[in-house]
Amino acid sequence: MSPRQPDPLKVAVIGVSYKSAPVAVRERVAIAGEERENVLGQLRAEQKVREAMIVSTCNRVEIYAAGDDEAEVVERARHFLASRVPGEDLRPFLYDRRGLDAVRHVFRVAASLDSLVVGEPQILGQVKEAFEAANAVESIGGALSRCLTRAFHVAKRVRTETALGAGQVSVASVAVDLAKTIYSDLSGHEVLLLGAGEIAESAARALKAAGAVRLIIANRSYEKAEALAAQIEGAEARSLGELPTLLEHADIVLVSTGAANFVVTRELAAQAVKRRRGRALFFVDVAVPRNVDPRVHDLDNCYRYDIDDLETIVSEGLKERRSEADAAERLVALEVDQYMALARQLEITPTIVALRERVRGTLAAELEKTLAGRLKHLSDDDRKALGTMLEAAANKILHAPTKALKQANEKPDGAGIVDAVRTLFDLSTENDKIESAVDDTRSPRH
Amino acid sequence: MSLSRASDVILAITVLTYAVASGLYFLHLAGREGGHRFARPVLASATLLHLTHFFVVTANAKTCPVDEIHEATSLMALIAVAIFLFVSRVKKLEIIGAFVAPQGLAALLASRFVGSPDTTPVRTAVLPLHVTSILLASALFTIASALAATYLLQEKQLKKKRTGGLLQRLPALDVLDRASHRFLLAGFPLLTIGILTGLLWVGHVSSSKLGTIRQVLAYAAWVLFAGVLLMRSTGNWRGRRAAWGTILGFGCAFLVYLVYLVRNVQG
Repeated sequence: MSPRQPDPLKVAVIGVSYKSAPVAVRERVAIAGEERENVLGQLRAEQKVREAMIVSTCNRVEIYAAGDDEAEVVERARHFLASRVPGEDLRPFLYDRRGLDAVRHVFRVAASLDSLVVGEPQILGQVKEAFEAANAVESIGGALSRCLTRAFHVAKRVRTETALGAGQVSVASVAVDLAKTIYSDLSGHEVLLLGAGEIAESAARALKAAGAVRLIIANRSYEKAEALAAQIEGAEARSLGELPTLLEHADIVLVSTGAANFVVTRELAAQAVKRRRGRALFFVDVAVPRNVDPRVHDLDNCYRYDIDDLETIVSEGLKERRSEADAAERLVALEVDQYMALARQLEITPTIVALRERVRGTLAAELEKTLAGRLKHLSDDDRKALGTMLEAAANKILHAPTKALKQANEKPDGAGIVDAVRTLFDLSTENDKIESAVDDTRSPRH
Repeated sequence: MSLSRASDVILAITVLTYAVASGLYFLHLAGREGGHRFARPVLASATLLHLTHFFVVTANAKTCPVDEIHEATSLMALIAVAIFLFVSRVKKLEIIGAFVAPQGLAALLASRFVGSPDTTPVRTAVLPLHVTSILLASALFTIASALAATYLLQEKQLKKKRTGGLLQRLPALDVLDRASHRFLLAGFPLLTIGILTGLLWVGHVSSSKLGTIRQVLAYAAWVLFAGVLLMRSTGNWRGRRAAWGTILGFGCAFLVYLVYLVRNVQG
C-alpha cells in the first residue's frame, strides 16, 4: 500500500509582528541565531509538534509548525512564546493562523506583502535562511517543506510579475529619504555603520550609492568590520571602542548590533552633539532590541528613528503602491488556491491507488483461495476467464468511487470525501499506524 | 482719474493679487495641486503691480521714497519679494513663498493704512544712506526669517516624526539653515551701517518716548542678529536656536517699522 504523504495543510503560524506588538515586546520575544537550534529542539520535544522553524527578524518573531492536530500545535507554540518573558502575559500580542490561512500567511510573508515596508527584499532571504537552519537540525518535514518551497516560488513570481519590488520600498531607501530631509546633498557626508545587521548594511550601501562620501564600519569584532569594509568601495573598518570619536564626525549613524543594551546612550550622543558644534546627527536604529536611547531624539540637532518609526513612512508609500500590492495579493490568492488543489491531489492519488489495491487484492486473494478449493477442477482457460471477469467487476465497482475521489479535488468538502473513503475501506497505511503508536507511547509534556 | 485715486485702485488690485499668491503658496505648502504652478507667476504679477503703485505714490507725493517711512516700508516689502522671486528660482526655495508673500502683503497694507505720512521729514546728509541700508537689511532679514520659520516647520516634522508629504515638500534642514544664515550675514553689515548712521541722525530729531522705544528695539534686533552670528561662528547655535534668534531679531525690526509708522498717530 502506498504511504500517505504529510498533509500540506496541517501547518500553523504563531507569532508576534510589528502589527501586533511594539518593538519593546518583540525585542524580548526575539530568538537570536545561536538560540534558535535549542528552541527548535524544545519545540520538537513538544508532543504533537512534528515540524518547526523560526523566523526571527526585527519586525516579526514567528514559529511555523506542522502536526496532525493544528489546535494542539498552536496551543503548544503559543504557550512556548508566551513563556519567553516570565511574569508577563504576552498572549494578547500573539496571533495564530491555521491550515490554509497559515499557508496564505507564509506566502504573504515570503512575498513581502506582510512586511513593514511592503516589497522590501530582505524578508525572503531571512525566511530562506530560517528554513535552511531548521532543515539543518532536521526540524523540517514534508508539510513545511512543501509549504515553504511553494512560498519561495510565490515570492519569486511576485517579484518578477509585479512591480512590488520597484521603487523605494525597503528600509534602506526609506533611510536614504529621511537623510535627505536633513542633508540635501549626501555627498560630503559621512555614514557610520554600527554592527553588521543586514538591513543596516543595505541602508549603508544605499547611502553610499546616494553619494555619501565615507562609510565607516564599526563592530565589536574588528575582523567582521574589516571583512565587510573590504566588500564596499571606500569603506573603512573601525573598532567599536572608538565610538565617541566616530560620532563626532559621522552625520548619519545606522545601528544594528546584537547588543541587549543601548550602544548609543543619551549622554554619549549629547557629548557628540556638543563637539559637533551644532551639526545635525541622524540615527537610524534598526536593531531589536533597540541600540540607541530613544531620548537621543530630544537633543538639539539630533534625530533618531527606529524600526517602528518607519511605519508612518511605509503607509505613505503604500498608498502609491496599492495597485501593485493588489496585483501581488491576487497572485498570492491564486497560488493559495493552487496549493490547496495540490494538497488535495496529494491526498487523493494515494487514496485511489490504495483503494484499487485493496479491492483488487481482496478479490485476488479470495479467487486464489476458491480456485485452490472448490473450483480446483477448472481448466486454465476457465481460471483465466474467471480472473478477467473479477477484474472487470472490480473496475466497474471502483469506477464510481474513483470518479468521486477525482472530483473531490474541486469540491470544498473534498477532504471529507477522501477521509470517508479511507475510513470505509480501512486505508490507513503502515506509516500511519506506526506514527499513531509512537504518539500513544510518548510521555506527556513536563 | 487723479494720481491719488489711481494709486488706490492699483493698491486694491495689488493687495488682492498678493492675497491670491499667498493662498496659492499655502496650497503648495499643504500639498494641493495647482498651487505650485500658479503661485510664482501670481506673486511676480503682484510685485509688478506693487512697483507700479510705488511709482504712482511717489510721483503723487513728489518726494524721494527714502525720505518717508511709509513709502520706505512699501519699498522694503517690494525689495524682499523681488529678492525672494530671484532666489527661489535659483535655490529651489519656492515653498518659503508661503511666508514671504504674506509678509509683503502685510508691509504693503501697513504702508498705506498704519499711521499717516510725515509731511515734514528731516533731511540730513546721512539720511539716504541710513534709510537705504536699513531697507536692504530689512528685506534680507525678511527672507532670512521666512527661511528660519520654514526650518522650524521642517524640524518639527522630523521631531514629531510626521513623515508625510510636508516633510518631503519642504527643503532639507541644511539648505534652510545655510540659506537663512547667508541672508542674515548679508543683512547684518547693512543693519550696522543703518544703526551707526541713525546715531548721527538721531541728534537732528526731537527725542520722544516712541523714539526711545524704537531705538531700543533697533538695538535689540542688532544684538539678537549679532548674537546668532557670533554663536553660530563660535559654536553651538545652529539649527533651531539660530532660527529662533533670527525670527526674534526680525520681530524687533518689524516693531521698529511699526513704531515709525504710528509715530504721527501718537504725536
